[in-house]
Amino acid sequence: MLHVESVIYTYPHADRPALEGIGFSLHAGETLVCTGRSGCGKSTLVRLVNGLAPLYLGGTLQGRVRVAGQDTRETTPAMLARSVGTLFQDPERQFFAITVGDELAMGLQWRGWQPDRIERAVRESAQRLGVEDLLEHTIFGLSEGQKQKVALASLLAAEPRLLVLDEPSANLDPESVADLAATLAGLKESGVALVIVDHRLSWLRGLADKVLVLDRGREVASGPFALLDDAALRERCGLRAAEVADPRGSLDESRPGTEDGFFGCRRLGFAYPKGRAVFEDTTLAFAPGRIIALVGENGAGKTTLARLLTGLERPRTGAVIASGAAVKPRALPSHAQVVLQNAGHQLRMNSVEAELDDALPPDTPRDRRGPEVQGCMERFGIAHLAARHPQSLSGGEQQRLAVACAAVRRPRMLILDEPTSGLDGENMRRMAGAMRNAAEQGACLLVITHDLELMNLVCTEKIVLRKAC
Amino acid sequence: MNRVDTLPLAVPGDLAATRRGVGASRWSTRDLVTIGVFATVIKASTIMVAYMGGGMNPVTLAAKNCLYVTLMIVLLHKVPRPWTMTLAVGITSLVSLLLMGQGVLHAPGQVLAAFLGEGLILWLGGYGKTRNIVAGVLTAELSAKAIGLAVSWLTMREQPAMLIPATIFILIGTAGTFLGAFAGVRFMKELRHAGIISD
Amino acid sequence: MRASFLTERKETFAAGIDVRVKLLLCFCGSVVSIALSSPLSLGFLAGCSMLLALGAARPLTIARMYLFAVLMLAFALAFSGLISLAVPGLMHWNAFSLSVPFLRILISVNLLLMLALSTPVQTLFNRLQSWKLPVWVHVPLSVAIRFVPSFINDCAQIRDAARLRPGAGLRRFWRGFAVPLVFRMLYSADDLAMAAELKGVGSAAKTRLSQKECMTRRDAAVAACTALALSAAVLMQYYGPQFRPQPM
Repeated sequence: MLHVESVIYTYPHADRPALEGIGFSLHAGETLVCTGRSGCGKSTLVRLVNGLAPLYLGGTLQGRVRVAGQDTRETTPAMLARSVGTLFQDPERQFFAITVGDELAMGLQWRGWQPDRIERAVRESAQRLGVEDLLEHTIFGLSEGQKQKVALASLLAAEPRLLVLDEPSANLDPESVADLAATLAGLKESGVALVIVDHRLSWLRGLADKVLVLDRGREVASGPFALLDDAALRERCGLRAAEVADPRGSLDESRPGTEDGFFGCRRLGFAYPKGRAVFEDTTLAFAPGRIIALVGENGAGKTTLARLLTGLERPRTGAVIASGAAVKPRALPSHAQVVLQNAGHQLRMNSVEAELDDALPPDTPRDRRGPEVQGCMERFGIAHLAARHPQSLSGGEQQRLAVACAAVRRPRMLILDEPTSGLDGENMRRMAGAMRNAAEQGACLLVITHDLELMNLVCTEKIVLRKAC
Repeated sequence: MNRVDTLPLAVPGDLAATRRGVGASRWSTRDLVTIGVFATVIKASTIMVAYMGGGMNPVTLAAKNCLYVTLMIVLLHKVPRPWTMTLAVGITSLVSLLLMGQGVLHAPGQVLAAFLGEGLILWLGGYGKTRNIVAGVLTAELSAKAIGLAVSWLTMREQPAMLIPATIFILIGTAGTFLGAFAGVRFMKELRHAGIISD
Repeated sequence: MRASFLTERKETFAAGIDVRVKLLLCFCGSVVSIALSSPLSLGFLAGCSMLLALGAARPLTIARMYLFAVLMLAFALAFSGLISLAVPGLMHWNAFSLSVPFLRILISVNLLLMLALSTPVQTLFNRLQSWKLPVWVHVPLSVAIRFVPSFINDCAQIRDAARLRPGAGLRRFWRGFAVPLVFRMLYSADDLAMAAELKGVGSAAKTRLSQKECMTRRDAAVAACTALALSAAVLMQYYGPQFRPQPM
């Protein structure tokens, strides 16, 4: 089904190969898991398998990649897509239509399938993934799990024999990940070959037939999943844990109600226009030095709480408190900062150093600015990136920079929304260290995360939000 | 979306041919998608700026023109081939007509102005030099304004005096057009520094 | 201008007219109104176009749009009037010279309201699939329409991020809004282009992606009525009472 032979691939304008000496085979019904630290070449492998490299992205390819007997150097990505479907990390960014039904049909229409065949394929694939009720729904407003199912359904409608999944678990909660694992197991059973590239490993134990570990474009280990149980290998290659316990049940609940005046909210009430109440008479008190996991089902109000505490939304009733006094929403950013999920949206200057300098409070004395920025860069391990443009950084580096920009303002409250989504083990641990550092400096951290490994590492307590009835 | 790997976004090697001004035979999917994305952003962001400042605010008009020119310069560096600007302007006009109900009579004039701008770029030597692109975009913008005024004159020819306030605002807004040229050139340097656009 | 990007509204009369007919109507109506100069013809066309606009949206929505247009015109009039104090003879203060431009603008506003308020985006998107457009129009136009809500969402996120940091004036706008937006847009374009490539979008020179939508009787009736109305307006221009601007 898939044969990769002695591949050496170099991107255009790059000094060194992104992948070197890679080779493996995959048969129908088999699953290959590829993992490694950021920049090791996993995404490059995805692009080689689906044909985007070299014909679309350019660059030079030595060796051979054959998918269902077709050489990727001679077959366009569109032709290859008849055999291999690719699921990217953020499915919404790849949706081409407005409704779910149209999205499922789009690729088939461009291939010139007859309308009745398209209709049948769309219906069957939607039923297979359990999204038949969403066919008339727009693609906007779907949950992450639903988006992924829609994306998978659109791929499966074309009956591929190989599926490539790039970080499929990055944006999913643990329940959705389990759902995805079950879906993929079913596909595997029906004879579809799977190549899964991911940092999170624990959910793949029951799926993987082979594991390939990459580092700096080269293979460092390959074999059954059990090889990932080697802690030394994982440490060396910056990998995540092969087995992760779920701490959500065991973490102590943060004690509500006692106001020590540091930061919190008092009798907070909020509802979106024409929506149901999200918060009714909610009181929370935070203390310095804590790292609290904010957990709850989808729609419980985790992101809304973050927005209320930082002044991005105005409460209907109640107030946000700092130093014992109510603070107007406009003044909240000087007390509380949130690092949103999309780090790129928050970076706006033309170098890392300028970004941190811009993030400093305006009343910081001029002679303190340089040392503050330098100290922050060192704490977050980004000093070597000082002159780089923030938008040229990798995802993990951007996330660390975004957190650093929030932390340099020394807020009382630092709220992080999925700070380790898509990060490898090494960067995740680095982020955890930075979070501990911020807590030691006197901030209270509130973490919205599905990353159970991060929760195990840094969170000492939890706040559980439930949907208001 | 998190970009875990730093992947170059530069276009592959057939760039050289299009930069010489030689017409490439077929549009690539990437080019067409990029034009579509830019068309939306150009139109929607300029409308947002206009609404934020009020429709007849000359400062807002200048800001709108500045943003428009900057984005167009970036687009022509990203898709440096003939007909890019004309297609982008055509799509922008269609989008604003179909979605926002604007410009049924102005649209042909804007497309013609873009065509003139592209002609100038080719005459100056093609899309390989930033100054050619800037000259072409400025020509297109200024021509579009002139054609727009001409269409407005046709509408108000019984009372030409009512064109005076519009003309004054357009002249003030033109300052934004030239500012956009400077901003566009500086922004291109930043995009190259970020590795988003290759030389 | 659109009240809602995606909501399918209650089916109005204008919503049932084919988009191509509406576009043709807009174009012809605007061109003819520019060519004509008789207040009677233009008044007649303004009345017809107002009926079309009322067939697309509620009277309150139309009234709000009219108010905006009237305010803009009043501003232009006031400004010109002020200048004419310094330059007498610049403004022609008579019914003919004041009404004709106003009527032309009114016709244009009515036609555009009819087009913009009666075509939900999803319908437009579906119609696009059924037109046999060349790929170099179809793909960017589909992308442009599809990308609007993503863009609005990105703008909202960037705006939130900008609110969390200090800054003022032009610098805040440029660095806080324009720069992240352009970078976001460039990345989005690349992501979407890769997905499009893999879906085979653009692989045919011309394509009709769904069944051809035929014109209905309503479309034919509207087209016929439009042709009649425009002809009547032209006849009124040449055979109706002749209006000349009266000196003050």
